[in-house]
Amino acid sequence: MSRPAAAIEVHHLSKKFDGNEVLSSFDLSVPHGSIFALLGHNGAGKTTLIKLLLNILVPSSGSATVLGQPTTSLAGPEFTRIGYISENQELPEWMTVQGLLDYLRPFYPAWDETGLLEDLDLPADRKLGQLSRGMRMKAMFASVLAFKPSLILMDEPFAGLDVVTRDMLIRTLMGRLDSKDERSGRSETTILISSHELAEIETFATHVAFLHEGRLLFAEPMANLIMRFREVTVRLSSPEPVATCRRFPADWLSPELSGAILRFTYTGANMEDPETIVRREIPGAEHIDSDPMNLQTIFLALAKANRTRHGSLR
Amino acid sequence: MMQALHIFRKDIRHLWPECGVYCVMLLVFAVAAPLVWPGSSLTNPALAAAIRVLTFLIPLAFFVLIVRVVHEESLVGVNQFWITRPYRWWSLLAAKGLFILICVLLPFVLMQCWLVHHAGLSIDAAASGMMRSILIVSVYALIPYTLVAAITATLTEAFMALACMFIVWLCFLLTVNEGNSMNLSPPHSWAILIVLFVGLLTGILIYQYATRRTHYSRIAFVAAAVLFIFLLWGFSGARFGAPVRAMIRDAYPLSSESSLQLVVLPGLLPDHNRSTDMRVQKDSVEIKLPARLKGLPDGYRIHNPNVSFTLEMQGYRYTSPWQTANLGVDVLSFPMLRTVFDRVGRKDVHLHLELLAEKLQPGISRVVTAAESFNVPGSGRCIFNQGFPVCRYAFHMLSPTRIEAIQGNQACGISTSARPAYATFPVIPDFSRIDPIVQQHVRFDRKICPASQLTFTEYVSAGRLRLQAEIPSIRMAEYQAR
Repeated sequence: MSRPAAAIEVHHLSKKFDGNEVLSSFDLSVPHGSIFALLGHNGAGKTTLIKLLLNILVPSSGSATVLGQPTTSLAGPEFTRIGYISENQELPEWMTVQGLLDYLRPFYPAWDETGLLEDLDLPADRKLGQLSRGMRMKAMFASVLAFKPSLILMDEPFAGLDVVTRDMLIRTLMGRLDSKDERSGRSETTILISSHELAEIETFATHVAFLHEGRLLFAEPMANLIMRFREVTVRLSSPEPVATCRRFPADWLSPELSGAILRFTYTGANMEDPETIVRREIPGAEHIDSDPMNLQTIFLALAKANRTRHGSLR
Repeated sequence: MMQALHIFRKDIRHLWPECGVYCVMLLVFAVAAPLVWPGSSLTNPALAAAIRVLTFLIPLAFFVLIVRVVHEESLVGVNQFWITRPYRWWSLLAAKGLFILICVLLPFVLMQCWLVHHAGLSIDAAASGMMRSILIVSVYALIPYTLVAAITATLTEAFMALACMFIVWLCFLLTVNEGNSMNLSPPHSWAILIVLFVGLLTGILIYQYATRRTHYSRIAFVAAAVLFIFLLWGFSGARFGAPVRAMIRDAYPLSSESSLQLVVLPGLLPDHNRSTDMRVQKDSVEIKLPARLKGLPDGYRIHNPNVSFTLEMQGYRYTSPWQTANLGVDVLSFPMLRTVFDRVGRKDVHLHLELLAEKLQPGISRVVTAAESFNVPGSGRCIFNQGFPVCRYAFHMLSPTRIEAIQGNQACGISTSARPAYATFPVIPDFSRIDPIVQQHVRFDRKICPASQLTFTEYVSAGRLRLQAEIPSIRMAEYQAR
């Protein structure tokens, strides 16, 4: 059987709760072997999307496939290839860490927990109910990584964890994904991760999507995103022409004028150099600085832009 | 199946304390219950009270155990770890079924077997009763409890749901269904209702396990309960009218024996014979007609008589449902709705009367010699308790039995009499008790001695009958019981 083009395909998927639309209809494709970061602030619909993809929730309209299987038909056997890690997941508190692994082992054909507890520094004989938040998350990672899933969906796995624990989880995760596809050279495991820990995400995500109030604003490779976004500072000879103009191109986000200094986020740097477009739009620009942005500053800029009216001057 | 066993082993590992407490309760019951059986040397009111508490606690333990094991992999919610693991729903359902079978039902059945054995009764002979007991426990407790557990998230929620069910059931019995115990249901209606109810509940349970659509399952559960109560209300109250009466008539064909007749005797009943002898509902009055069943062969008995009547006068017609009746010597008693009685009681009406019943004929008689403890027909065993036999049966006694006692020669301090003493056992279909032993006191009109000869005559069915009688003109008020 040939492998489907994408690990996850979403077509016009939407979800309503009691008539309120929490996810508006959108399309999304998560390539095989990618580490796909799902960003958006609280209530954006990230958790709902993940639960729809796992058949925990049923879509109001549209459809999605996961590893080629319609999500609404995902059941027992498919979960030998799909792992799920969530900060909200309820674990059998009475089991020890080793007890959980021993219990889960017979469910999976390709179980290998060798070295996992050591890598994650997990106490095998401690009950899950007695573990700290970080330890619980480590136990969840261990119980998923042990069966070498083709797809891992993670919902805020690093929330509330200290830096050391986050680093340990990411290193273990990356270390266990070392098997590569012979043709593409990519990892055979696809990861969809929703997180607010943008600094960490940026270090390993290959793709990124941004959800805002249930709408998908964009989804693209991380490199493309980083290349696209620039923080632009323009020193003007006089603020007057800019202040009277008050309209900017759509890809100038959150323009702010402070005296003779104009600042904005430029989202088209991959298409056209910021300096060229600024000189064209604002002939009176004296000096132009264009700085690359990291994921966190891009996220903040997008959030800010969505709060203000797009393209207008503040 | 391997997955089901794996889940089952995990459940046992986690819930062994609860199982242990449950088994201790059964053990205490098994030891204590025989101590309060009639004829026991120990008469401790506190112990009897403790047994009563246990008979309440054991079904509660069923409920707690079932809810706990089902909630191990709760079907309600979106955050349970198991829902994104490779569980097959049928394996999960099988694992829970296995747990209920082995950890809930099996200890209970073993406890009942032990009590049957302790009562000196044969476990082999009790097997059919045991099966019916298991069926009833499953229908009334295990399946509904499992479904309640499957559509609730916590033990508290499950208890609330159970409490709601009991309150609705109680309200139904006390209000809507009041008085229906006098009415006859169509044949097999109860069995059909049970099959329908169990089928619906099992279907909903499977649906819930297969889909985890709790909202729909809850709606379906409530709908099934409403349908069940509606059918029960309709059938037991004869509210479905003519179709139900017709179904009953079909099951009781008109008697083809020309000699067998229901004869309404002329005149009124003598005053001493007009006292009430039925417990009719508040909305009814008791009618006592001078009537006789003619042509019944010697030794035959009438069992479970029911009456339906039609009253007709100009512009008025009323047909009653089939209702329990008493057929005594030259008197037939039956209830009549007070509203009907008030309307036509003092007027001349045409009465069409139908009586249906089961005929019983004497079967095999067996003579046994009474002793301190002795076996009796019907796989029973009797003991002596203060001069009267107390007979024990496992779960039920299937045939009405007439017992005749002839005093033996052995002196036991009781004045002897040449006159035989008689007693009758009714049919006792009792499968829903925790204690499987049915105790039946043999109520002779006097004490008897050990070594007396007791003749047990079981009555067996000789078919059903339906008889009719017409009275062109009658005033019902003249036949009201006082």
